[in-house]
Amino acid sequence: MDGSVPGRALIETPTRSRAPRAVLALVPILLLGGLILFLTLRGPAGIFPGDFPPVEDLTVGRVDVEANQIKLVVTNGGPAPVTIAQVLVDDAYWQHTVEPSRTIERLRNATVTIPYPTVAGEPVNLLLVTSTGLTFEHTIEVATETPAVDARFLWTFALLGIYIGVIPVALGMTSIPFLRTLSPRWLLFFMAFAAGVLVFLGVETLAEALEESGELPTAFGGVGVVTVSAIGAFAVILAASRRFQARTTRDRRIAVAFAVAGGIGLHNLGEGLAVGAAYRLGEIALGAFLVIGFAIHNTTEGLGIVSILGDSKTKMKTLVALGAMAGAPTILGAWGGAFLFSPLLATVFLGIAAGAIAEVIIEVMRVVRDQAAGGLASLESLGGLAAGLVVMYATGLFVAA
Amino acid sequence: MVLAGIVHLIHAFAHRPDPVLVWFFAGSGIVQLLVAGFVWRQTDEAPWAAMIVNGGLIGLYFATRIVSANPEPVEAIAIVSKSLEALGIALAIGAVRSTSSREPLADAGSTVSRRQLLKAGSVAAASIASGGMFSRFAVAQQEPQHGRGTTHGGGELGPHFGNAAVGSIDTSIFDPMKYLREFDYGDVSKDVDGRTIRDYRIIATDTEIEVAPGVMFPAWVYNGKVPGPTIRATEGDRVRIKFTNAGSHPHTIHFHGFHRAGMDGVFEVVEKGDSFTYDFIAEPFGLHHYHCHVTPLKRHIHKGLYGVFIVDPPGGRPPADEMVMVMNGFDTNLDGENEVYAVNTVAHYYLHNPVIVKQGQLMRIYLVNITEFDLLNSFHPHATFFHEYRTGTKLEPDNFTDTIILGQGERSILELTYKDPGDYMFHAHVSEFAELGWMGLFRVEP
Repeated sequence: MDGSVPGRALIETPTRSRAPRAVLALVPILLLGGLILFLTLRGPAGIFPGDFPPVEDLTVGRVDVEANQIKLVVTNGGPAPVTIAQVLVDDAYWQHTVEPSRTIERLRNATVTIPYPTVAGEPVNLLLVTSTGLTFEHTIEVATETPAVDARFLWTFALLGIYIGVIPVALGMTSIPFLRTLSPRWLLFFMAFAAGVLVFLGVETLAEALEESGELPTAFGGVGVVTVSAIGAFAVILAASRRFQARTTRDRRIAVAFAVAGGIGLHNLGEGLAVGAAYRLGEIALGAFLVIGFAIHNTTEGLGIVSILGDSKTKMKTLVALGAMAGAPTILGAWGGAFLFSPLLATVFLGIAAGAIAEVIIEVMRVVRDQAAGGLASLESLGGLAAGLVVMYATGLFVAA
Repeated sequence: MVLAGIVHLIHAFAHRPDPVLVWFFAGSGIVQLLVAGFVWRQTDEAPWAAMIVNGGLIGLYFATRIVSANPEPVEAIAIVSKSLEALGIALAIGAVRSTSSREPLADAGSTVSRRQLLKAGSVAAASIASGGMFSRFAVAQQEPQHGRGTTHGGGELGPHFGNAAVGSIDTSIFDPMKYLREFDYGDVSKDVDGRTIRDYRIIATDTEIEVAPGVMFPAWVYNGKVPGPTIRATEGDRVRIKFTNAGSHPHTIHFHGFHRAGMDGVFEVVEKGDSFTYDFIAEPFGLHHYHCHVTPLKRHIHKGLYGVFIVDPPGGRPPADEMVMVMNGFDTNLDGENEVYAVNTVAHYYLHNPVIVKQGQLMRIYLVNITEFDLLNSFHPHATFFHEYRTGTKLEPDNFTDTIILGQGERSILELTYKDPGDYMFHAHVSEFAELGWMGLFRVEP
């Protein structure tokens, strides 16, 4: 109780050695572990009679289709082990094998291989029958041969990524000369425009993440995955931007532009994932119409990035880096979606993208708030935000996907 | 990073059967813990090593998954370890950033020198290389062993025959082959008028039956099996059946045939634990059946309370190889549709275990349709034609054909012969039912 020295802590905590604190931290964990052990060994003392059939949950994740074979990866997302007894393909019992074993433990996977003559372009209806007679359905909308990983397909998807990601962003960036002619108020308008673009993308990504999470086995807690990825990404980027102390306004602008490019890049990663996965499942035709739609939609994103830079002189090197950061992830996403698609990975990436975009929106609006005459509620701020949203929606109508 | 290392070690444990994977995960886990140790001691090259090791492991993960021909399914545990590694990278970047913007401490000489970077890089590279080597082996292990795409779905029945339930049932509980040719004539005695009395005992219980290999169905049964015992008498015999209900719901037995109201098995519901004796004269001659008639009717019939009742004409029928075939179905997931169709309960049983018959011998099939939820069922044997005696109530056939339909509750006696040896299919000509289990083989032996 040392009150004599002002500004000093009233209570001095004496330093203890670390051991007792670690032990104290472990006590509740050990007690919990003991309770769990007791319950698993002895049962809950007859509170719940065990006569009910177990709740079962099977989810089909990755599907590989070939001319004469269907392969499924099945995850047990329920509370009890599940045994796959029979498989029905289009309402017919069919020969199949289950690796590694027909009984799938909780949260584990099994691969079901069915030699079946698929008809290209037609749907296949699968039904897994478990030992208790319950059935789990999965429909392959369009039976398409899963693309093999070879140079041609890698190049196809790289090209796709370039067409729908890199080029449109670069095109958007050619609006720099126009932006340089604008007054400061109009520049702030365009910055808010960029934020509006990001808000649109962020909400869209979040919606896609939640939709994707619905495909996950129940035990994975789909919504939880999205929450953790989104908030995690948000926190990491927030921490990273705090550490980077920019000295001049110009440096700050560039930093925010990079952050925006990063956020858009992550969103495009998700977009690439979706397009790649859809192509893999035969649900999409990579026609010119699709590419045109994306080109229009993503050019606005490029415009958004350079709006942040305003009238500051930026090196070509920086612009290229920004463009690559925003556009290149589309390629990675397309590869990922086409070749190693898994709903869990997709959910995580989309969640991360949503969180990152949210953080970047805050960064951009902070700049607008600081520099606009009326702050966040000024005409340029709100007008730009609204304009960004509307333009993104309008150009989105062109996207055939 | 410690967490990622621990996760990897746990993962190694989970992959115990595969030694290569165990080494890979254990190795990377140990490396991560070591580097975490360095970070703890706050040496300067540690964050770089952390970044490189974690980044390398993440990159390796994605590369092996894209390249390997038969990748393991993505597991939640992999996601967790990758995210922890990514977090480790982010924190390492943050650590590096903060040290570079901080004033250099006098004692530590904390700016990263080229030498320190080389040291860290070589440690990291060694760990990645070893990890890479092991993962290459792991990928090689996963090359598909079984042939890819056997045409049209192979299996024990040949390359073009994939449509069959997989596996075999436990025949010690119910043997469809034994049921096929089993008839219960009851305990025979005579009454004062010289009329034959046949006494039977039927007990209703709850039990689980196997309707397809590995698929269990919670059934209500007569005398432990679905279908129940085949009761056989001659026209004019007095039939006495002592029925005891040892199940969990009230039941009855309703017979198809002539009898008086009190013996109809509808209003005289036998509660749990009670008994009732059905007593009537077996008439008319023909093929009939019996089933429970308690409401809800669909449920009591569909859960397995049915069986065959044969009344022979006084002069009998010509000698033949006689078989009982009950067309039934099971709704295993309780959605109001059958997932399993069969003759004598087990899907595709006679496909895997053909019915042996003799070339040229007259076969007599007592065919009964008790399939619930579907309007009709059908029967079609290959390569021969049969005489149909509808309900068996006449000694002259009604029909000479190879495909018939029966409504629910209808039954016919079919007489057929096979002229040549070999395997011949018989199945419902409703292809959907055939694919769902109502298909078998006659194996005609010389």
